Amino acid sequence: MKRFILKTCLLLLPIVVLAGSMEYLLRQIPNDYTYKKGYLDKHAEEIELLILGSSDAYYGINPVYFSQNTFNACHVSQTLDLDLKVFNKYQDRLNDLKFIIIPISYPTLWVKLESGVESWRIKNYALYYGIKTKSPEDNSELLNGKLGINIERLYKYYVKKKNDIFSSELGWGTNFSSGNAADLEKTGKATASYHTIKTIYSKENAKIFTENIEILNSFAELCNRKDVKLILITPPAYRSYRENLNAEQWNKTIETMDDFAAKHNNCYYINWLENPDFTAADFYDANHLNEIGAKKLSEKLACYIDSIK
Amino acid sequence: MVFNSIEFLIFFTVVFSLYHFFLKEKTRGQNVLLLITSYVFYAWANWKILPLLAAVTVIFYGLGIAVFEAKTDKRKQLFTLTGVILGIGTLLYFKYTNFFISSFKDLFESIGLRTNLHTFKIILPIGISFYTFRLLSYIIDIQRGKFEPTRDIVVFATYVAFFPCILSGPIDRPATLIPQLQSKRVFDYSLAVNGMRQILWGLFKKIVVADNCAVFVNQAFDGDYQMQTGSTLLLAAVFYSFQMYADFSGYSDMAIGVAKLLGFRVTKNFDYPFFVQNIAEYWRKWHISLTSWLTDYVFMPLNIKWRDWGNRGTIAAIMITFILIGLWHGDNWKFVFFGLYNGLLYIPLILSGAMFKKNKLMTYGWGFPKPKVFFNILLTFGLVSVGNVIFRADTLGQAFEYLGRMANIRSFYSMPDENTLLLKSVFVVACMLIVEWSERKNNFGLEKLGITWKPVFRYAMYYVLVLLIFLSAGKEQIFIYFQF
Repeated sequence: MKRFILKTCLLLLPIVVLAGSMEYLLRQIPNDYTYKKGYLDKHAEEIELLILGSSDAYYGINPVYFSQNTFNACHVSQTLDLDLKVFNKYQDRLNDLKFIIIPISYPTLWVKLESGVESWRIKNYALYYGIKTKSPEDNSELLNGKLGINIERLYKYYVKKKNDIFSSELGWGTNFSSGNAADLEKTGKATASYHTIKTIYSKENAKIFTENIEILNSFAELCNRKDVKLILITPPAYRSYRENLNAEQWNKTIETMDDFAAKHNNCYYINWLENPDFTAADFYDANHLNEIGAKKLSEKLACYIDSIK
Repeated sequence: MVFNSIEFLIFFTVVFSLYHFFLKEKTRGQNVLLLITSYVFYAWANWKILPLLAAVTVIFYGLGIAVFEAKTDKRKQLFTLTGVILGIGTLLYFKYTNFFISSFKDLFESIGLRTNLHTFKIILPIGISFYTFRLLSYIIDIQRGKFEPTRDIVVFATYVAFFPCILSGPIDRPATLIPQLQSKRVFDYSLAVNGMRQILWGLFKKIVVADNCAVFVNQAFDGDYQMQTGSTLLLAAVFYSFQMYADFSGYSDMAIGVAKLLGFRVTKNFDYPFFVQNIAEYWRKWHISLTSWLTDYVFMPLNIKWRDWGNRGTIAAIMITFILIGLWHGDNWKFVFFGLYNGLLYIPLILSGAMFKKNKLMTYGWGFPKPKVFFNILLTFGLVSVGNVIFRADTLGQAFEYLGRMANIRSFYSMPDENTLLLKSVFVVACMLIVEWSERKNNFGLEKLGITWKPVFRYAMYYVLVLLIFLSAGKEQIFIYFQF
């Protein structure tokens, strides 16, 4: 028995040491999550307008165009449950907060990061925001990414001296530029199909939908208590994306959001999915804006906010 | 909780330590620990399914004793029949109720009759197909006089819920596992090392081979068939067979390896099923614990009963057995058709008297199979892969559409879509096949490989496997066989 334990330990020791070292080094790489957490830790009290949500707002809403002290706390694939968890972490310190913007796009009401194909991103909330998650595996960089990608990240940071921060000082995503735009026709069809929920009324999807509505209700209540206005926006998308949406899913989203806004005095819903002001030149891909589109959307939103002040 | 997770690593380290250090050679204590941990393991996904397992365990424990102690054959048969009806009834209710309801509904509607039939919200208890077959073989073996019931309910309950095997088998017979649970277990170094090697090989097959193939296969099966070339669909069908094998046999290897670390030798579940020369050999080497179960309890009794009908009786017995194999896999007509298809492939073998014949793998001195053997292996693999398309597709209609598109001559001769995923799949499958072909006389690919090498080379081999596992790990694929 002792021989078995000893040999197993000897065999595993180099793997454990190597894995432990990699884990430590990976966690030291500055990324969007460490940056945004650092910013919120430092400036929460000064923020007047907080932008939450996923990639459409991360790339689509640039805080520099707002007259208020604005910060974009979005991350790629950040779902409503995580928006609430991030908000809850700082709500006691957001003393100056006047507005919250949350994007409601086509799949938003039926998705949760933890149950989707991008669930590996949950580790960022556990590791860098200190948010409690379900699985112990969420507390590891190494267990949530392919080894090849992690080695590449280590090489990039420790040899090439490039970190993983892709957002601007105020949290806006900078790497979807007009110079390297994707094929709008191709991405439109593919992304719409990827965002279409097979059966919105299935048991699991209906459950996620109900939970997301409850989260929005919690937001509305919290905002009401803090005298904050909650702005829910469906950002613009390119024609190729819009034409491939499932009517049932999309209609249910609009209906639900209109009802929601009507029910809560401090909540506003803007549907700019088909806004004619946005042309092909504004998009990075069919459902994300580039820096030109982000400027346009941010300025329009700034005007809207000034009008409801 | 799957074997390739941190949860299981922590869980098993605790179990192993308690089992071998604190309860060292205390059989009763070890069995109680195994029972508790098996129930924790089983309830991990959903605790609501645990009461059913506990209830059927208690009932079958009592029925086993009742069958054994019954004074007359009639009473023995009555108790056995009660057990069989109860076991199959439970399985039918939890797994097939909605299938039957929707099938009847569709049937009535197809002839223009409107019905008021509705499906129910029934939780499918994970692993129910596996533990029900354990319970049934227990009661039938007692009735046949092959096995005496155990009076120790802890032993019996552990046999039913033994955690390495409850979710995906192997389906151990009572005579295999119960005597081991009743006897003293001393830590066996060579068995433990063998178990560790089997776990490593299982992890390699699951994470490196199955999960890499899955990416390529899923693209073809889940996408639009009309957009893909016939050659791409053909390759996806081929790689699905490898994926399925690596996934399921990899899981079985891990289960058997974990059991070995606890001092148990459980039933072998795969015996290199792709190195065979006909479909009968394939099914004797694929999911052995299920096929041998159905052979003993369904095929053989039917074949004996219908022996006067000659080949027709054997064909009928085979078709029924394979329909059951198909249905065992799930509540969908595609599985029935999958069973029928495999049953039909037996007919030429039955008529030519080759069904039970064992074919030798004739090879050249340098190890490659002789042309006729190689042709037979390829032919059998091709036939199996066509069946697996039916298995993998969402519906029977989708399977036919896939096969039709795949067989389209014009599209078939086109080049496969250029894909690095394909090259990756080819590489990992080739690695697995080379190792398994060269080690086919052993119980699993890594059983003896490198055992006589110098430690430095042996350890290097382990580290290469671990590196490949880590390189492929990350985004987890679900085990295909959990759904059954």
